[in-house]
Amino acid sequence: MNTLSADIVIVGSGVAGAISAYALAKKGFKVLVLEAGPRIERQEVVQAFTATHNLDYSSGFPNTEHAPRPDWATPEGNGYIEQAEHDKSRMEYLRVVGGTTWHWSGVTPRYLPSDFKMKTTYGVGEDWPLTYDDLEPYYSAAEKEMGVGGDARNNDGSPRSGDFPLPPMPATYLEKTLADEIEQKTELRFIPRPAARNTLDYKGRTQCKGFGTCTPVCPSGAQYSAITHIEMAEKIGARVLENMLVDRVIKNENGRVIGVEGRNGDNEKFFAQGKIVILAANGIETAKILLMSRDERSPNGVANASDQVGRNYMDHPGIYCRFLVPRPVYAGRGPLTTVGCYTHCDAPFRNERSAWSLAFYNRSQIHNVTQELIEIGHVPPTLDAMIKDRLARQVEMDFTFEQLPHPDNRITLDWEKRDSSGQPQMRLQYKYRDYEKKSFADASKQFERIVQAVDGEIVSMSEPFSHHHLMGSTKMGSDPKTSVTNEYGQTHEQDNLFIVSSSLFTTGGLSNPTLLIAALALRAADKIKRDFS
Amino acid sequence: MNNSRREFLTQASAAVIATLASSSHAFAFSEKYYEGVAGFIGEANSEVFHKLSQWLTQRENLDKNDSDKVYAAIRQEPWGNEHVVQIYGKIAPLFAEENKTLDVAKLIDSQFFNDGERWFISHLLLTWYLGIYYHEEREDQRILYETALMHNISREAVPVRFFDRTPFGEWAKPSRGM
Repeated sequence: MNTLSADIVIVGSGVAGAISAYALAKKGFKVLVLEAGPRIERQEVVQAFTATHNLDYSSGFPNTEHAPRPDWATPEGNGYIEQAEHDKSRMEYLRVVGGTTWHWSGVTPRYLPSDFKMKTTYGVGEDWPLTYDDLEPYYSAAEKEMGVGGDARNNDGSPRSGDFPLPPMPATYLEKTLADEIEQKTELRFIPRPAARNTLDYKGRTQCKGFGTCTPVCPSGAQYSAITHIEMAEKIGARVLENMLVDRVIKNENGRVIGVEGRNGDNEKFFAQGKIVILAANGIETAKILLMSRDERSPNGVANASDQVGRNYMDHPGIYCRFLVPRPVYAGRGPLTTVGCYTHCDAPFRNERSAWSLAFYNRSQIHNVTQELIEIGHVPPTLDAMIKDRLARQVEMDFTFEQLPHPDNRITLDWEKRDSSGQPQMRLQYKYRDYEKKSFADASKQFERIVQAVDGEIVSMSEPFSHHHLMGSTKMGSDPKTSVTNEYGQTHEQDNLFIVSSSLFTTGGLSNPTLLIAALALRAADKIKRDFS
Repeated sequence: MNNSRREFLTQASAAVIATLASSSHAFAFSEKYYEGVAGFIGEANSEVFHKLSQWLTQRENLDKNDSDKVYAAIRQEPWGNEHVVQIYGKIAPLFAEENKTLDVAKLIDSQFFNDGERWFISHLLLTWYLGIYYHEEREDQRILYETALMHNISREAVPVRFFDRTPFGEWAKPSRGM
């Protein structure tokens, strides 16, 4: 068995692992990052997307036998995660160096102070073991690391100690036009969405080039991806290894964590020894590794005496709407999203139903429109005129809802079945509860109001779907009996085993999770520096 | 996702596949049938296919290299060349009679084409416009990207994803296509 050694072994190279690696290498630690998937090149990914017939946002990225991942197109199960209940979570993530920040939207709002105090404020969910004020300095630091642009005078209600590091992204014509019209006729207000897409050259990355493909991939690298911090960490001595699939956390005879064990791309076993182990393998894989690390003394897996590992899995459900407006707005020019409506993100109704936000989705409609028109029988030359007309006027919009934690929304392992890498297959039980369903029911009314405000015409409205924000499966809390880690992501059972991931989230809030993941990682790095130097 | 847009597209693709599966089995050919229709009893080839595509897409300047790529996919189908020959044979004399103007929509509305022929025309247009070949039994195939005809008619107004840049902030102004 190949043995590797470092002060700190980090499992996962997405935003959490990459920022942790950089922050800790900068503090003088010898850092080793293990990524289950391969390294990829940006231009190869771009080429793959232009060569594939598949319109799924993951199809240009590798999905290897050694590091398989869920398939968005088959929520009922693709041999990797089987879904056991209704309300399929169309989860989607990448297993490559840099993780899922390769194809995120770049949107980085902060959570609200009340998001951390849901039980105290609204009598539902739970309180986090930390407050917004505890996190504020780390939020600011994370924004600087990632290059977030925004308008500090016009934010969603999260107090700030300073300005954004970059100016806000100019709103697209579509979003500005429609937001203005909606604001004139409703109580809804739109604000610039903070985003880690460069509005100026920043940290070696170029200003946004306006390709309009923030997801699935930014061709210019103007949008932040964890590759930025992987490369920064490597420059100051961190070692990042690809195709290193971790099977389990290893403890010594005294029950103390001493490293992780896994297999490389040739399926040869390795042992990576570290004084500290950080699991940064996303909101699902982190729980999986803990559950796989069972032994006689820990039959439920490492750090799982509470039986909370895998439970309380959350996402941000969404409802997706399309409509026609009477004037040309041309979706698909510029970034994917630049403004959002957070008018209903915090209000007394949160004691009985979920908060919601709204954003336009500035994606080119050309494929949908063309396909629909041909399928209903249109032919040239009128087809061309109809495509032009619909392309100019068709708009997509997206409701996002918060979801409360529920212990029965849960990831477990099926040891009888194996995925392509040989690890036990995951099983997900996932259901929306009344708290979310009440707001889903309200969405159609809201949608009608909005479409009326712009003199539009409804085309379609989807069933609730997943935003792929994987949260909660190793939640932090004050009580070791009901949570997996403390407020720093340090597991209650092992003081040298940390988690940095959206799996730590005690409640889901409404904001995109990536900035909070980064802030929690920086806070954990400070804790490690204080306690382990 | 982010995004039920993908849900829609998946469903739409599934609908296309379902259409392919149901329609292509719906009729069979006999040599006698298309010999008698229009007098065209030649074999399908890339020139015939290109000409047919020009007529159906109403584009004289249809790229021949792209046409060959689309034809390569069509002719792999057991019914591919038969459809090309049959529809070419039906249209050719009309095209000549109508002095190089041909209203395909009118022909479709007038039941000039049978169900199978209408399906094939729709299939061919989907391939040309989307750049994706939807196979009946094999995996679908990307054939054209930036030269797919949907971009040909919209590129001034909306950039082609992955290919066209928009100068920073230009997206705040109305599109040039407006």
